[in-house]
Amino acid sequence: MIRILNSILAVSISLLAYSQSMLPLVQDTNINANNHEISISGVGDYQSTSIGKDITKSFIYGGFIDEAMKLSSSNRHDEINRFGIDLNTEIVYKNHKLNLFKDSLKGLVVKGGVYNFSSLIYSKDLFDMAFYGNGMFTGDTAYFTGSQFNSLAFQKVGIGWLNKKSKSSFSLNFIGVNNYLNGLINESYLYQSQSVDSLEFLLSGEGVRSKASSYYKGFGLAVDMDYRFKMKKNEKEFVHFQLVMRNLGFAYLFNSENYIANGVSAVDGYQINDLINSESIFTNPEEVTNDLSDTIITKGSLVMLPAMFQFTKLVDYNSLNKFQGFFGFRGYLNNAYVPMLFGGLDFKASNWCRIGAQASYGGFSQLRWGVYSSINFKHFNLGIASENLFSKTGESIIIKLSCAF
Amino acid sequence: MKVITPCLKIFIVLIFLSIISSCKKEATQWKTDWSIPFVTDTISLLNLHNDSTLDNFTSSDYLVSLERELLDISLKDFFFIPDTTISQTFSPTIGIGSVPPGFTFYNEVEAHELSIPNAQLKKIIVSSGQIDLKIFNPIETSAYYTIQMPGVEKDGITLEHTFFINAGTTDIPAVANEQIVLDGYTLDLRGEDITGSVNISGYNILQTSLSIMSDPNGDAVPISMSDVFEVEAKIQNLSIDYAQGYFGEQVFSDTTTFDIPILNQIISGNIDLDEVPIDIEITNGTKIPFSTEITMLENTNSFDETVWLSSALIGNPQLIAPATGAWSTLVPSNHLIGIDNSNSNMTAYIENLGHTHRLGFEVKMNPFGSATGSFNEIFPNSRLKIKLKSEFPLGLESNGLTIADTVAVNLSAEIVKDLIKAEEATLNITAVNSFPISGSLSLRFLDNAGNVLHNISDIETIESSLLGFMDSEENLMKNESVIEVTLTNEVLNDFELIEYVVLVGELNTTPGVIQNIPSNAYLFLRSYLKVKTLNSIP
Repeated sequence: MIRILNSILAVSISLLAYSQSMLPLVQDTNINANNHEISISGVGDYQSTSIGKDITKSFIYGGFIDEAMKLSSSNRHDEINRFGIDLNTEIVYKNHKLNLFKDSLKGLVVKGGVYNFSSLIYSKDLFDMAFYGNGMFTGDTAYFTGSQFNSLAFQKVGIGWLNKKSKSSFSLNFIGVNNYLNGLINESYLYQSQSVDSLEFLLSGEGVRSKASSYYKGFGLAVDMDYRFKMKKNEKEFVHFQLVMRNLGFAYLFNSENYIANGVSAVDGYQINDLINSESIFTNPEEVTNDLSDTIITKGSLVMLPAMFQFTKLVDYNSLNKFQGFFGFRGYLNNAYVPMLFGGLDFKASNWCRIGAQASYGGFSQLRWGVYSSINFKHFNLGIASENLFSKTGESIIIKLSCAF
Repeated sequence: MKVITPCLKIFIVLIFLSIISSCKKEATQWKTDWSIPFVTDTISLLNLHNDSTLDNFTSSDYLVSLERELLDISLKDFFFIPDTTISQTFSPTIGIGSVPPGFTFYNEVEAHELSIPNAQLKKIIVSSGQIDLKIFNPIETSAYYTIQMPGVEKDGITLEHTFFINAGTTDIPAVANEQIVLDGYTLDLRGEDITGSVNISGYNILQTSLSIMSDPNGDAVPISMSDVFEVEAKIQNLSIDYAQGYFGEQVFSDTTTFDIPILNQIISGNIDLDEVPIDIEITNGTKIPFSTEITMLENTNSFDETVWLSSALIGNPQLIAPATGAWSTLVPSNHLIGIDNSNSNMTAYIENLGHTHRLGFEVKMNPFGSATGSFNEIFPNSRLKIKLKSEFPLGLESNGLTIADTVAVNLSAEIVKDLIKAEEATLNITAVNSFPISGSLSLRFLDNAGNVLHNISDIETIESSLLGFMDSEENLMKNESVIEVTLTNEVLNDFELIEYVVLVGELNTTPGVIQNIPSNAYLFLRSYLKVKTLNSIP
């Protein structure tokens, strides 16, 4: 129990350093009474269609992955599977006192953030090969075609303006890339004869890896846009909507290693003379590399950031209704991420406490259930949420803390 | 400020807990099973088929048909004619005064002895060679030098060459360089006696005749006693097709050593063999009498035990008659020294399983001295050969014959450092055996000091083909065995300490029966490694 608590704390704390728009998104239609607002939010979210969270947690916290864990995950796999991790934190400062461009409705927004977004599309055979070895493919062929991996870690600093009344905002961000890794397997298989006297490995693929030894491997530009609008529901009420685009931009990597592999490597049994004349009983790894005709080119690369798009029907903070619904969809500029639809119900338990539940479908997994709670005081707001509570293939935690003064 | 301060306090506490929590992360680990092709090969005696060692055609079982050449010498090995320089000079002993044009003032024959070690040659036929001439003219008119070599003939014509040389002076004679090619010439090396007839008892003598004539178109010039007329002849690169004479009592002796390395790895057991005869064949293609003596034949096995072949034929010279005929009708004489169980301890000699054999022999030319006169003859195709031959069925009875080999190794259970470590490895071997011999294997793992760290001896046996089935297509009895050699975690954990692996193989046949080895028998091996790995990500 202590360990679980410790783990939750650890994730929570590490996520305090990360942020994303937590569900539900709330619209405060009041003109801010305070001049300054700082919000810190963090997101830790990993999802998969197939890999059990027991395995993922073993990678995060350490531990032994036993046969039962591997078997249950393997049985969950289809031909094509997805896995993704979204870790981020954001700090946003809003100044409602300043009147930018001599417009009394335009305030200042300054923000910073750290992001790590990784995704994986892979075949069942790739999972089985990694966790069981090739022993289970005797007399069979393991296919890896179509598998791809993408990971980008970057930081940003941005400045922009906000509409003090609608809460819409726009910011231009300077991006510093810490790490980039991308790989695509166009065609690949491993054939193993029934008598295990020959192996044939085909690999046709390409990859890019940031190489520079400096802390920042490249720089870029991106924009964040938070556009809010309302539609009339009845004489007294409006329905508020939000369209968010975050990290829409690109970065240029100064030096990246571009790998192109296109070859077949066959491993047959040794002859006795080979053993007598050889220093090593295993094939020289350099030989295999040469067989696969690896080409490595170092050059600059332009990469798109994993921009997020989200459209949401917001919860009205000032509504008198005890229950409010919310819905929307979210997407990322990423092959592995399937557009996610979500919807939920918000319950105003008291003036200082709201709780709610939601369901979502898509993303890196399928159906997910989530809950949230938020505590509101005069000068600060604390929200804790999870978009993925009961899943066997993922976890999610979101923390957001806002202070106004 | 009062509002912000509590937030910061919470953050500081959470960050502190986060650091403590992250320090406690243990490695992520899981196990995988990998199969890797290892050895697929066929062990047979095929590489001995074309080496005059094994006969796989004559019968359904292998015959050992061994033939090794111990000695093969030809004409050039019997004697060597070194490069020789001969010189013929002439100086007037009395003052001649003036030499008119076209006057021959010197004409003499000289005999020169060739230095040919160990041989008294009377006649040779040169296959290739040359004479480089250097001629000096000290008089102040040009001259014609004619050099003739009596007894040196080609197609019945005596070798004769005339050279023109410009005028010189007493102090600075004119010099001319010429070359005479001797290819195909017959050299009578007997010389002349005092009567001018051929000296039938002479040998190694080469004659030259030099005449000098002043230029018929020149002037009359003075000649004095200080003038030296000289011809230098350098006989070079002489190669001989035929030689006649007496080649002396030359002796060719040697001790030949031949090894069978695998027999040095026998550590116990023995074999029984049927009779193994050995013939030593001497072929004499020269018209020279020889005597041949096998001085010793011995072998030493891996236990440092030496067995000598004991026979009346050892140490007893055998006379080898000269060849008959000549040139294209030359018929070598053959002499066979047969050694078998009837006249030696041959079976005991072979069953000693010696890894190093030493054969001593001595060949003596003209064993009766010069009694044969001067009629030793060697032709271009004359050779003296000594061969060792043996032919017998390849069959044996093996009684726990154990062969051990120590291999230095550099092992590590870590396949990828700090990430993938082998926990258990199993070598799965499928063997198809068509030899009527069973074999079992054991492994010993030694550290640097030679201490046995692990011993794997409970490995199944590769069974004899006689316990299998008849393959009518290949006409061979075959038996398939599947054996596994497992390296446990304990062995793998000591991989870093293991410096040597001793491979021990024990061979057995049906007791009391000499098992013939079928022609084209083989042992097919197909194996793969099954490795259980523990993968760790820190």
